[in-house]
Amino acid sequence: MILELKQLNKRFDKPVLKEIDLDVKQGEIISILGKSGSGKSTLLNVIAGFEKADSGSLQINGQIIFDKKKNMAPQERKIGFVFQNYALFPHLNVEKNLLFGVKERKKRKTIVKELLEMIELEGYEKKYPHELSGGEQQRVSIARVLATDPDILLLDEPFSSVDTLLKQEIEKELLALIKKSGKTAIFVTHDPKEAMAISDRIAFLENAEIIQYDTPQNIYYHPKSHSLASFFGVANFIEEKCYRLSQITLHKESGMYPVSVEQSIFRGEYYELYISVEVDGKEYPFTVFDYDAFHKEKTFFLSLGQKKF
Amino acid sequence: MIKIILSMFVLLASLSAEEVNIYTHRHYPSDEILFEKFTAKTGIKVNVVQANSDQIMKRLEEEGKYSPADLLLTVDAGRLYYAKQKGLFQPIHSKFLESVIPAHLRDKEGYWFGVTKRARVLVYNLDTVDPKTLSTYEALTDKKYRGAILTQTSANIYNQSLLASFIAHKGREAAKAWAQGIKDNFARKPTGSDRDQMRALAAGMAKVAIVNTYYVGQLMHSKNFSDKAVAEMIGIFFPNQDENERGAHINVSGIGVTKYAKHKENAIKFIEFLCSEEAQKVFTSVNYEYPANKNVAPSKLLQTWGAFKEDQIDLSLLGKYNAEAVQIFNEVGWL
Amino acid sequence: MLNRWSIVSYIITFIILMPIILVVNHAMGSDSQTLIHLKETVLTGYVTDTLTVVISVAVVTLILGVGAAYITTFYDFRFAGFFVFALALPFTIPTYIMGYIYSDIFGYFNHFHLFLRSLGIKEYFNVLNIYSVIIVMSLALYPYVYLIVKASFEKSKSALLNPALSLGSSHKRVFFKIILPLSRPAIIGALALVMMESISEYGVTEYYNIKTLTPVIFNTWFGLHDSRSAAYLAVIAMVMVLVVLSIEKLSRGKASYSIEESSKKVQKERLRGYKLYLTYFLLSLPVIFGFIIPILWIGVYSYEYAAHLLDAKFITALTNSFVTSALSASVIMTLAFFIGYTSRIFPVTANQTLSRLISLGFTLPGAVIAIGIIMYFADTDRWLIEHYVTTGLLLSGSLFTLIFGYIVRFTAIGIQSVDATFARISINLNKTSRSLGYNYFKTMLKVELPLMKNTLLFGFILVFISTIKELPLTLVLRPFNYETLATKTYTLANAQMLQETSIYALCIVLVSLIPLSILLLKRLR
Repeated sequence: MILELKQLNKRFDKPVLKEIDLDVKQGEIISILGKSGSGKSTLLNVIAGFEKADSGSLQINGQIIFDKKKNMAPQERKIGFVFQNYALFPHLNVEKNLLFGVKERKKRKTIVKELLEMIELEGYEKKYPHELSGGEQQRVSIARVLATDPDILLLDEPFSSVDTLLKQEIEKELLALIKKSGKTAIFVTHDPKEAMAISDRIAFLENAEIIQYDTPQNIYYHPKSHSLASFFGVANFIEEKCYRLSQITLHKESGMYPVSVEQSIFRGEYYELYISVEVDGKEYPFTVFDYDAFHKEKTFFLSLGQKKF
Repeated sequence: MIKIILSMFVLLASLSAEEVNIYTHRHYPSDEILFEKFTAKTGIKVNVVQANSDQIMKRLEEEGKYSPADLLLTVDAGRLYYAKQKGLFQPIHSKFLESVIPAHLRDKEGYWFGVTKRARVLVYNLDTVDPKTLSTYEALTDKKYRGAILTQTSANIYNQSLLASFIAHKGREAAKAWAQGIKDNFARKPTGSDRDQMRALAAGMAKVAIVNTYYVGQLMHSKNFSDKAVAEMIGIFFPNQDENERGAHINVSGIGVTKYAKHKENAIKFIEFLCSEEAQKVFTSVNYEYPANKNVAPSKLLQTWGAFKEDQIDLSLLGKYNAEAVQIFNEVGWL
Repeated sequence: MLNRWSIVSYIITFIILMPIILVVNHAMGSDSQTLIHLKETVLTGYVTDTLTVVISVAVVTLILGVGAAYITTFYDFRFAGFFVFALALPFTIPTYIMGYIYSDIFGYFNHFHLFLRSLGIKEYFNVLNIYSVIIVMSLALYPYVYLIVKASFEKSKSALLNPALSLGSSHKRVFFKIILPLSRPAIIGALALVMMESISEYGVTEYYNIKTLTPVIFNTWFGLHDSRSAAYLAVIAMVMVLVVLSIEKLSRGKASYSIEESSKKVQKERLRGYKLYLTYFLLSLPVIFGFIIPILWIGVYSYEYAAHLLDAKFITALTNSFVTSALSASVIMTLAFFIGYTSRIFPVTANQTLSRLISLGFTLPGAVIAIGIIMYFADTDRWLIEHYVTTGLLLSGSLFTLIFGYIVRFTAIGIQSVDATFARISINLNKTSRSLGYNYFKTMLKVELPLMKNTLLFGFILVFISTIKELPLTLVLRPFNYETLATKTYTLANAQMLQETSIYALCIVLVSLIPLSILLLKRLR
């Protein structure tokens, strides 16, 4: 276990972190996902050492970096922090930014070239941050952190200021970069799609608590709360069990449950149907997509858990 | 480090043994000349801090028995009285000073000595005023001077002492009535310096202004053409000269040895020097003040204004009634 | 939050605040008789005049300062470079000198009226009134606003480039929606300085006989000999400013003013036609009345009357001014930087309140602070003597006391100039540096210091010039035989030898001009 959080608590005016337990394995990439105000940024700051938790403990590689008696300064924690707006030092050029945290003289000579190669920005040594595009700045800021060879990377909303069109591209690049480095990484994000795309595991934080910490698949298909389920897109429930659109098929004549269509909206590629499903004499509201032409009829049959990807 | 700094200070303090340290309010060229002359004559170095009286007196008071100052030189008898009250001076005896400085110009117990005199007099516009119609300070409250009087604000210490002399002579009520009367006759809300009053007077804004004599001298000898012109357009009048009158109000600038003077001998020498004929001549010729030494004649310029009868009031009273005077000014709105 | 940084910061603040605390403490035993007397007679008028002067000066300097900064930052026209420079020049002329000059020019028997009479006009215009005071103070003080706000505009200019912000918006819209709000800390900070200085101004108000609180403090202290009531009034003035500052701080709230810096060139709008001439006209007014006329007056008189004063004493005064001002400004900027940095890394209310409190020195009239300082050092000296550390006065009357006085008085300027820039540098840079292995101190040296280099130089120059011009404190705190340009000017001006003062006034202007030129060439072009 490279990182282990136990029973972390923190309050400002009200609790922002409640009994947080979290463990991260070497080389794992996880996301802390939550809406704004859920406490996710505070959690990241606590891990980095910028904020002090009120109680609990924090270990890196089995070494305690925070508990009742100890609170290691951020500069001693070997944690690399990548900020939302990259926080490149505007008064330093790319080379000096990259070398900022590198203290070994020998390493300073060779590392810039290696890093620039890795982030594919050869020849950028003398450029200043304001001369770089957003994506380039981000790569430099990650390379700057990697230069100090930290145990863990923390990334605070790294894609939030990226143009939507470029987002997937940059996500892919960044992920490849981190995988290449073999580093453990923790992302903070409010975007579930992003979390699913990049993470080995996702910790969902709501009202200062971790609701669920699991693989993207499990979180998606077996969410532990309604709000978590609907956070990831359309979720339908029967007796507290969540069904995703992909787990539902509609039939014209045969199927498990009879349904009646209450409303249908044409969305171009598909129809969005609002239906109610009757199970054991109880009615449940459902939302489904249907690509076929038989939408004009008012009654169908529905099957669950049929389609798999 | 601290030790080095400390020893430097000690060294500095012990460097010049023959010296005298002065806190002064006076900021006149005459004084600089005299400091130099004194050093040339006696070999005693004169160290000076020049700042506003009230504040430098506060500094002296706070420094207490460790103060380096040997002398306090200031203007206005009221302040001298106040310094004595506050215990800033010590009495000294000097046959020379007692013989040349008239009794009413020095403290009875020798705490301070007047060095120069200045009269607070009336100046009038030569075009519009016949000096024969002028008589006393009191007469200026007459209705015929409505909108015709110029003087400084009540923050001016000489106005405060003038009013204090009224309180001393005639009591609070009469003094207040006078202040009210003058205020009602103002040509404008008081602003500017004594010089500015005379400029406005020459420009025809008013008939009479109340100013100190040496400012008239300064204007006459100004290098500025327009100030010279101003001086030519005004006349000087010493009020309250009749037999049954008290005489023109005078004030002094004076000096005393501080209570904890470290160089008392030098300090006394210095005062004696300031009152010597040589120094008194500098005061009167360079700064147009009247000599306090009764054996020294005023400069030629001052003589042309004529001799006058001066109010022989105990100058300490000006200090005694100072706060009351300020209160009256506030009450009547002479601000 | 108790940590080493905050503790050191508290100690520094406490030492600097001590003279002010003494004044406040002194006010505790104020004589109710005196206060009743003042209330019955003059106080209402004084408070009205104070508010009139302070608010009017604030409004006029706001318009002049922000207007000038806006035009020179966002528009392009011939001689724009000249105006950038010229608009700052009135800062080099001490307020009281400006006051003397205009009373000399417009005095009843002087140039202006003689000219009128030569035209056959017999009217007299009284210039020694409250309106002139407002104009004179505004001319002397608007450069605070101009310089500080211009520096801020220059920094946020790049916001114009941000496609998300400026897409389809006009320059004006971007200015009002983005740049003006971003510059708010700078504008308010500069205005606070202007208001504090106009409350504590004494030279002009005394000469023009305008009754703001400062003269009433003097009246009470030295006329009625009631120092406690005077201190009480000084505290009232202080509280007024404190309220203003707190309102500003509260309304700033948690809003962030940081913006990523960019040095991309901005396409300025080019002025043409009547707009161009109007611009010339408007920008010329403060330059002509705030600098050109005064400097001509000073220059002519220096030449005619005072050239003979250029002697050894003059050189000594010049050196003294230069050395003490430079020394004080260095110390002040170091302290301001340190205190600003501490409240940046530990943004708890206590730290931020301290940086407000420390600015109070600027509200009090120089003479009142001076007396607080005299009391402070006299006490310290007595203590030292009683504990056999020294045998005589060590601190009182030393150069150290004078420099300390400047620090108490002018740290406000340092803090205001530093604060506004700190608010603009993202705290994430600090955090990044720390997670990259540097502690607070090294981070300060490696990140904030280089980023603040220009701001610190800028603040240094503002403090330096203010110190060169400073008078009441210098007069009473100085050591024996210690003359500066300002004390020389004053001595002569007080002897009503206005013409002779000109050479020293000229020198104050010249000495101030050198660093100001460096600043403007380096920073604002």
